[in-house]
Amino acid sequence: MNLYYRILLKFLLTFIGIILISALPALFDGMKLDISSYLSEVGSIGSSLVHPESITYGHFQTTYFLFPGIWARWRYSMILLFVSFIITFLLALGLTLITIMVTKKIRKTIRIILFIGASIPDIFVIGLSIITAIFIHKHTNIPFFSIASFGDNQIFMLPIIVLTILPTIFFYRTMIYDFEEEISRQYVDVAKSKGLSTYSILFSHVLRNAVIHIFLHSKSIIWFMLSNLLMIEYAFNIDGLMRFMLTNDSSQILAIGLLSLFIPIYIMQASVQIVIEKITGKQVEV
Amino acid sequence: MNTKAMINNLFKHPLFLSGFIFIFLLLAASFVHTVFFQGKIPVTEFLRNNEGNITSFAPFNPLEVPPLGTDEVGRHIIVLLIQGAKYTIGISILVAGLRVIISTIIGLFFENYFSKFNQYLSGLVNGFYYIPAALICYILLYDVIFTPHGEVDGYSIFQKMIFQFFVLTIVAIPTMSLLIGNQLNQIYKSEFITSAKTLGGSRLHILHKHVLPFMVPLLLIQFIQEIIKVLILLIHLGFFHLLFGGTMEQQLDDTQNAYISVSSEWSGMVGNGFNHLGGWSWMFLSVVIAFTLVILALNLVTKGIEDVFLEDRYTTGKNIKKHKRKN
Repeated sequence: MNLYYRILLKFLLTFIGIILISALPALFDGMKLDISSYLSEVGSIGSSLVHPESITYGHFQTTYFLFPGIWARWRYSMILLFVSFIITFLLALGLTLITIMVTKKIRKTIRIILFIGASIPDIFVIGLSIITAIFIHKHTNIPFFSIASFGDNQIFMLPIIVLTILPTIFFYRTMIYDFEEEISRQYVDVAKSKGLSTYSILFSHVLRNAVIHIFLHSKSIIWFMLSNLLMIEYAFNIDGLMRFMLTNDSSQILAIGLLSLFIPIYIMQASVQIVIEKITGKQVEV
Repeated sequence: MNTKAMINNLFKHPLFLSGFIFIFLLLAASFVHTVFFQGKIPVTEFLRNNEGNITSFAPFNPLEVPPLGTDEVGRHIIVLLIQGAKYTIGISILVAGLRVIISTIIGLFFENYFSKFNQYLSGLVNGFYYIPAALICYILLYDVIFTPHGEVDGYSIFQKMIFQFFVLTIVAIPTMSLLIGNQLNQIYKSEFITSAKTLGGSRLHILHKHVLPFMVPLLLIQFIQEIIKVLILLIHLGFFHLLFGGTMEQQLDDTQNAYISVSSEWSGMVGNGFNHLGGWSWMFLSVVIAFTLVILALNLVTKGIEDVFLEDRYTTGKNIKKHKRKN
């Protein structure tokens, strides 16, 4: 099947899937299943997507329009997510390239540390970061990190640091695995026997082939980061999209919010997919 | 190698053994505490000095009341953790088990009869990869689980538990069925299945004799990884004050609300501990470290199973080299 047709089909199906998922709260009336209300909710989400400007939400007994106020929240969440993802990716890639070149003994130690690191829940990191920030604030009087955001004051530094730590550990771990898998292939031995230097093999051949696996793993990394973002927005009192969806109990807002997260992420994934398929000629799936 | 020898090997694997023993001892301590000590939790509400005067009130930090300190009403945190362990781990095991069993059945069914629609289904299910599991669970559970201050609770604890089991299970079913379906697809494509088909094996025979033995270790690993995912989901929901078996909101004074867990499992302590992070950080840290240790133990168990059961399965270059070196 054509590459662009596949990407478009996946986009449309996921789009529909997200609408079906966001209507789920209407399926449960207390504890009873209510299929007719579910179907009507799907319909109302569909119609609200056609006229998004008429969606409202209540806040302290006042009704507000969803647009254009949601864009500021969306931008905030998106900046946190994308900046953290780029840092995570570069950090993990750099660390992996260093790790591949060090001796076996050091690599084993790194792997043990990563094994333990992958067991840490995200809340632990958030809690530790807040304790550290309070500690620094108490003892130095520098308001270096703001712990919570209030009103228009947006914080970036601490959430991005926290949002980078665990995903980097996960990404780093899978990348090391992918690289070692790739290095053990026979073409690397052939290249070595032809007298190519380790660096040129690593950068021009291994990296290019490992990128496919890394891309496949990036999907679950992004899912993991979205989940982390939700916790971080709640913990740091950030007025972002995730917290907005959590505190507003409305399927229409949920659908709009999820779709506005999905579309940019999917555009990124699809463009990487196009690049990979054009360069390597292999079929990959987002 | 037959199954019995593999299980023998598993119990000789140091990583598996240490993880397994940790979980086992934790659960054993939890049950012993309930059966022999009637689930009693020691309370230290205040400390006295030598003359018998009260010097300070709860909460106490781990230095004042070893080993883990007390919470704000003076209950010893170490005993709370031991008491809650069986619920937290039990819930996770049960939900993970249900997820794996149901997903396997659905995966088998779809792989055998509806594999044509695989592409469309995977597209629809793909939506779950853009939604945090905690968000969807929170929205589905909030109305039933959370009882605001001053409102009458409409459901019994038992009903709430069943509902929560149901929701925690179904949110993972679509993605997991697809994953297992894809794994099955890989197995059905492999050479030994094709030969079995050529030799005239019926569909049921192939499933029973060839596919399932190959799948069981994979499902076992999936099961343990799923326990970890459920634990993390429980932490997240506890962080939002959605506690297993229901949350009771009570007003302590004008500014503070207490969220009381109806069952005494761990996730309730996460949210409450987080609110007191500035002053009484041990309340948060002890429960989160307990979660981390359990997850670490489960990861060790997974590593052990991978090493023992899947050792001869990967035929990548790395392992071929390893084999050559051995011979």
